[in-house]
Amino acid sequence: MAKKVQPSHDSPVKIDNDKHLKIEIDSLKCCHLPDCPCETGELIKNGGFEILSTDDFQAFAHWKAVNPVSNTIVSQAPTDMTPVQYEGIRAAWFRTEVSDLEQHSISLQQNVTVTPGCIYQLSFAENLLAGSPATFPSLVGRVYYTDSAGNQFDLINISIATSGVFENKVDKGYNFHQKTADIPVPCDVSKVTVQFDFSVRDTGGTIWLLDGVSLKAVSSVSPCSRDKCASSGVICQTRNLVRNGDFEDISGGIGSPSLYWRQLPESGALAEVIGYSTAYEGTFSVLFASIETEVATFKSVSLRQIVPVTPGCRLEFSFAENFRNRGEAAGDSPRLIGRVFWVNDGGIEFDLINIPIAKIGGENDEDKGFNFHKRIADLPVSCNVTSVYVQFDFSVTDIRDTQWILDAVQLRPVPWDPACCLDCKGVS
Amino acid sequence: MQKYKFSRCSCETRELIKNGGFEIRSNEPDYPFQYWEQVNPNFAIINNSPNVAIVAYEGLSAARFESSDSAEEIDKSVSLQQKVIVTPGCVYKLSFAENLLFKGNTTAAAIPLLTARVFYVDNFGNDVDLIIVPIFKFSLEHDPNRGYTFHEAVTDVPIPCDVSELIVRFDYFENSTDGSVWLLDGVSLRAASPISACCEKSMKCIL
Repeated sequence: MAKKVQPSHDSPVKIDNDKHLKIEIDSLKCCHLPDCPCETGELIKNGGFEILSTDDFQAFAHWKAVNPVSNTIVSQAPTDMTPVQYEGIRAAWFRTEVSDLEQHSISLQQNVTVTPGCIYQLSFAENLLAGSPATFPSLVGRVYYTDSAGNQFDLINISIATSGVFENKVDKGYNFHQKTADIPVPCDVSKVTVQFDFSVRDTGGTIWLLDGVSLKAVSSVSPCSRDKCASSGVICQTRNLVRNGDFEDISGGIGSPSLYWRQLPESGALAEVIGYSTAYEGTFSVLFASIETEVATFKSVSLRQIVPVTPGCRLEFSFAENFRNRGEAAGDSPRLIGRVFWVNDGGIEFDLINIPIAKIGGENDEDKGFNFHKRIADLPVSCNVTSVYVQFDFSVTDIRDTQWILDAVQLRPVPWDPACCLDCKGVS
Repeated sequence: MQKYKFSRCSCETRELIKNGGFEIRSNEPDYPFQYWEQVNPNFAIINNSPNVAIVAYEGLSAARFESSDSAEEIDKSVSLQQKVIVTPGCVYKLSFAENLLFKGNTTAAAIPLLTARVFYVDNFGNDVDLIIVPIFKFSLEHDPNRGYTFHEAVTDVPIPCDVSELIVRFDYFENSTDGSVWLLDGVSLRAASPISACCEKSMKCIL
């Protein structure tokens, strides 16, 4: 039997007479190590569609096209067309060819091994290159898992439709999309499917491009207990804190163009915010529009939502905007500012995030489709702050018809440790 | 009293790129914008003139990669870079927005290329790439003047423990007669991990 090792003050390494080794470690000198780390790298293989498949029935390595209806295909750029890609030299082309049936659809999927308990983020870029009005093309990006009964559960769902004015959506270049799952992968799930569902009712000629597909873990540790592996650390939750940020629920009341959102001022302004049907994702968006005046006049209106937050968390703010029309005599005056701020007891506003957008480029920045914006606050939410304001300030000096579309507003905490605590020994 | 946690192992929580929106012009030679250095101009420049019409992604300005017209097809290139101090062992995320405003031409078709890179220089003077995002624009019909496109990329591995400086660079290249105009804006580099892997290694409690 080993003899008990006697502590020593001069060395952490002790050797007893029976040659048993023990190393004592001062816990204060050690950083906490995650026991169950989430992946740090890219999980999608060939997300840029750069590698072609050696399988005669599939276009791209690691991707599988399934359930084609009518003459619907996924391929690289056809030989008679010039490639158009987001990054690299190839993209996936969802295409319809002439067929007897109008209904066209196909899915492109890849199975991915994941770590139970981790939170994942899907990103991709798409470009509706060609199509016709009234054919209702749609592309849905999904991350789902399948249970033992064969049911699919969506962790992430990004639906892109072509409601509204078709010309506002077609051939406008690539749009970047990104969404984080509101919940982690369940502890009994270790495989998810990343899938893109394309459908359209046409007689051929629709082309939708997909590129830059990425799936990454955004949490650093898993809370699932497996093989004695578990993390009890508290992290900020990544769910979207903005309610109805996609403006899909249009049942707002007076002074509210969309549920949970308030227009400021509610009335009397020379500009307004209204529900709109040309969307970045989903079916609806909101439109900032100037109201006609006889002469060029300064006009402004804001859209606001108050959002509860966890003190100490860092916030990531994102949205998509589309400057649809420069109104008469608007010149270079149109502005849209996306803000996240909090207000102290004295009514003073403190910006955590401020994204100013100005349209000063003449016809070159008008009606060019949606732009995605994202910013992380440099500072965490103060420890005495429990709610912030998400606000968009629109302004223009014009006579009429300046229009700016807004969609896909997200405010998500970065899944790191909150910076605030009650009893820690850090700086105060 | 409010208490804030403090960790010796933390990666940066703030923006690391200075003047990533190109809002501040510079009069310093080879620095068209403050903190941004123009490198190896060859029949192409970073135009910072306030007199050219600028389409901005955010704010009021953008960097304008501009190649000149030439009688013959020749290579044209220029780079724009910024050096950034980083924490060894951290993972970093690069993001930016670009907009090919005007696509040049040749007797065939010019293929302007913008490559975003994040790299460090090792002890032997070699560039070691951590992020490469190549953007080709083949199509005269569908690529130019489509507004800004957002890009994002993350280093696959943490910064080596003996590296504390990265270079964020945008390389522009084309072979053409008529030149192109490519806009860049909203450049950002932020830590994507909360804890440095080097710190973990040095403090790890293992035998």
